[in-house]
Amino acid sequence: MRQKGMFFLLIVMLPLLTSCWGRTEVIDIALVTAIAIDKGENEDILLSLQIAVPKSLGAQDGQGSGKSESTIVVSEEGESIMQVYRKIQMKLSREIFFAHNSVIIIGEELATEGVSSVLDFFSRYRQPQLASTILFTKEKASEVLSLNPHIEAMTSEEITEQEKRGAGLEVKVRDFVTRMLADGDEPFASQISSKTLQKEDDSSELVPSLDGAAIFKGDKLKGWMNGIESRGVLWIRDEYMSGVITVKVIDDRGGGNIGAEIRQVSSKIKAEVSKEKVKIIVKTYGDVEIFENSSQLDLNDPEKLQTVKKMFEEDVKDRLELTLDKAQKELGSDIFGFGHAVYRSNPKLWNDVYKNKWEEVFPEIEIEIATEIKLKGTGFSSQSMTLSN
Amino acid sequence: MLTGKLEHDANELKVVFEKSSDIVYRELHLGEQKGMLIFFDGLVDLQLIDSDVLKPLLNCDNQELNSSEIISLKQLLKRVVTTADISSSQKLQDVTNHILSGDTVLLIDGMTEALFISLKGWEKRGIEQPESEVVVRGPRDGFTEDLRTNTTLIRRRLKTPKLKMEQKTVGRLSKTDLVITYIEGIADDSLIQEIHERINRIDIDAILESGYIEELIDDNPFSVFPLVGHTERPDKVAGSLLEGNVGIIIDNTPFCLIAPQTFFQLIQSPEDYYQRYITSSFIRILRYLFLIVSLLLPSLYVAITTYHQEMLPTSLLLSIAAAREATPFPALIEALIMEVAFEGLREAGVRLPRAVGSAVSIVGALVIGQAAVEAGFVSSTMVIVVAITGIASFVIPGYEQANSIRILRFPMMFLAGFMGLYGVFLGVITLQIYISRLRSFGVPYFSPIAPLDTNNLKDIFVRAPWWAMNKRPGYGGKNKTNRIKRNSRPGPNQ
Repeated sequence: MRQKGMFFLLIVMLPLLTSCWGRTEVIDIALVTAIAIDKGENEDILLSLQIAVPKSLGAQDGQGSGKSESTIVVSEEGESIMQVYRKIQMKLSREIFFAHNSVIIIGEELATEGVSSVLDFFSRYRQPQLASTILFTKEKASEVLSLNPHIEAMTSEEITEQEKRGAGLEVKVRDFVTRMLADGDEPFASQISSKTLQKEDDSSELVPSLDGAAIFKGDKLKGWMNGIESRGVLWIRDEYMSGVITVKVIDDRGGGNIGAEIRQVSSKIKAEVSKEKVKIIVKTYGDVEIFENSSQLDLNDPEKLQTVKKMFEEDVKDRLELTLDKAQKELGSDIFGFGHAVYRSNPKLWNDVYKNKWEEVFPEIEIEIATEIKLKGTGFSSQSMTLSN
Repeated sequence: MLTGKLEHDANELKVVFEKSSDIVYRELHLGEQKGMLIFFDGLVDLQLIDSDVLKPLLNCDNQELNSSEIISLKQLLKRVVTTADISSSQKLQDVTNHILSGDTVLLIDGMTEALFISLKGWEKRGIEQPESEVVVRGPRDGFTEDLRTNTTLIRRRLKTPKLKMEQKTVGRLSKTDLVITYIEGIADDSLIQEIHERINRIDIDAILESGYIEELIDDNPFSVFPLVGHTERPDKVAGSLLEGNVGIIIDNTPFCLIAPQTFFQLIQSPEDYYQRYITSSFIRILRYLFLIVSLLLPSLYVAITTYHQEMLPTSLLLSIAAAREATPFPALIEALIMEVAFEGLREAGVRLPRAVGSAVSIVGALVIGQAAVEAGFVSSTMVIVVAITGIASFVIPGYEQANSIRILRFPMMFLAGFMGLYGVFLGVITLQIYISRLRSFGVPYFSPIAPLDTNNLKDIFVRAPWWAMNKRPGYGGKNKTNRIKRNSRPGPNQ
């Protein structure tokens, strides 16, 4: 009995005497919601953390203490992320907590020099960041973070919500790093910039906006794409969900526009590889439903519909060619993963011949685009309103 | 032994029942013979004694009495007394016992036998709706404190000679009657034997409630979970008997014991079998959910908010952080304070006279719910957690078993507070091992899951329709017979 009692006592004491434990109350952590990394003025890295202030974010208690900032941005310069992070920690009363970070923004200057040194921390640290969205900006990244949120409570939330809506390319750190390290694939990410939002009272404010893409080769920024071009990237990579296309009807046929929503978009990349030549065939498909018709074309007529269909196909092809040209000829970055397609069609040839000289081969390869659009509907009214006059 | 001399025997009884103001000695003359009626006032039906015993005895023909030379008790019994339940004995000990249990004793001068006339009648509560187990659909009658009423309630539900009711008396002073009831051929013989033996082993001064018996026949006296079931509902007893269980009905309490008991009876309510099986199955699943909530919600809250903040959605974490901003205590202490406060409030609600009951709920709701949050002592999220946990514990139909879960919540909270989710899972695993180890009258407590018995699963996670529950979910094994004819799924005639 005595022995049993002693044993029981030991068991009870065991958890109490460990002295080291990971307990942290929610009010003892500083939630990082967004991270901005720039090249520092004096040192390698300027790290800015956007930290949520729960006091002003939660449900308002009875005695509201007025409108206070929902987030604060703290910055520090240093040689490595770890070092800067410790420097910032010294100034905060709460422990920096990275697990809830949703956005990482990197400035152009740093990106041009290479991002692998900074991304290493985020893939290695125990509060993993791989699910955060990675964004690049031509401006100073820390300034984007400091923009005031308008609809959402925090800037980071405004950015992620825009992303969810389908505005950007939705590239997570995980995807970015995988593409960076993979053979025959290059990383890209959304571009974020501050744009002016005109308000009712004639005042204007800067808001973060996702538009365009940053194109990389290895870990170095090569150039930027605008919004239309970046959509082409998604399309070719089969990540495009839905969107709007508008075609102009030529004046011979009466002019006007036809606008349509495009859905069920898919694409396939095929590579025809021989020792001498690589040919890539991109096949894309899409369903289209017409929602706007200000032209003179009568959509009840099947023949006219065929022409409209052709026009859509041409338009899509033009767009994709624009993107391909930019990536292939101008930036020389294989963001579509064509190299990977080559590997899939002939792994041996890829390893033997193309793997090491893909950089030189890529700008020269022949790319063929085939688009196929299906007209799924013409909306509720078939005739254009202008036609009846 | 009785001497046959009335005066002597009566005096001996008077010594035994000395200083008892409620005993009545009624002398009477049967022609030449002297007799005496002895009974306790209040335990007998006076009107019936007047009409069935006194009147016939006093009015009977003196001639007839005197004509026969020897008046044997048996003759008197046959001719005069018009009561059904009559017995006799020569032992003084029997006489006192019968008087104590409410029989009327008739002593006649010259007779060495005493006549016991059973005209018991005392004030008793009528059959009312059971308060601790309310159903929407189902019979509304509940057991009362009267043993005979209770056996009747069961007998009326199972009209078969196979329904056995074996009577026993337990308690040196209380001499409490109890009835062991089972259906012969369905209940396992060894189980009945075991229950008999365990009850025979009881040697206690008094049994005042079924809880005494429950604790004294328990398999594992240190068990957190009750290993013997109890109910106020005769329909539940009848249902249990049909599943091969044994019921123990005890005098002076409306609670009937059911043995053996398994863990899954915790989520079975009699209503499950009366409602449509789809509804019942849905509610069953709901109960499992709330069972887990009731056991784990506070500890999960403590564990996640103090160790695993990354598991919560950002906006939820921010709300929790905002609510906890001004609170002075760590989450574990806060949870303990609130849980203890809730348990206190609940206990107060049970004990309080009805008139002040509403006052408690108002004070509880206002003080704990609102004022404490506004004053910043506790966070509003904690109030929500405690409230949901409180509701969850009432969802579980087995009251006693729900109480076990209620108690286990506290060690879980400590584990969560010291070791986070790791501790919670350690606790759950330990609990699972512990439950699997328990046995109730030889039946594994966690059966039919551990050990797995796939035949009996139809009434565990969902309630299968009656036409699909062919086999009796019994424990005996050999007595398992078909309950319902095969292929009795109803439908229109072809």
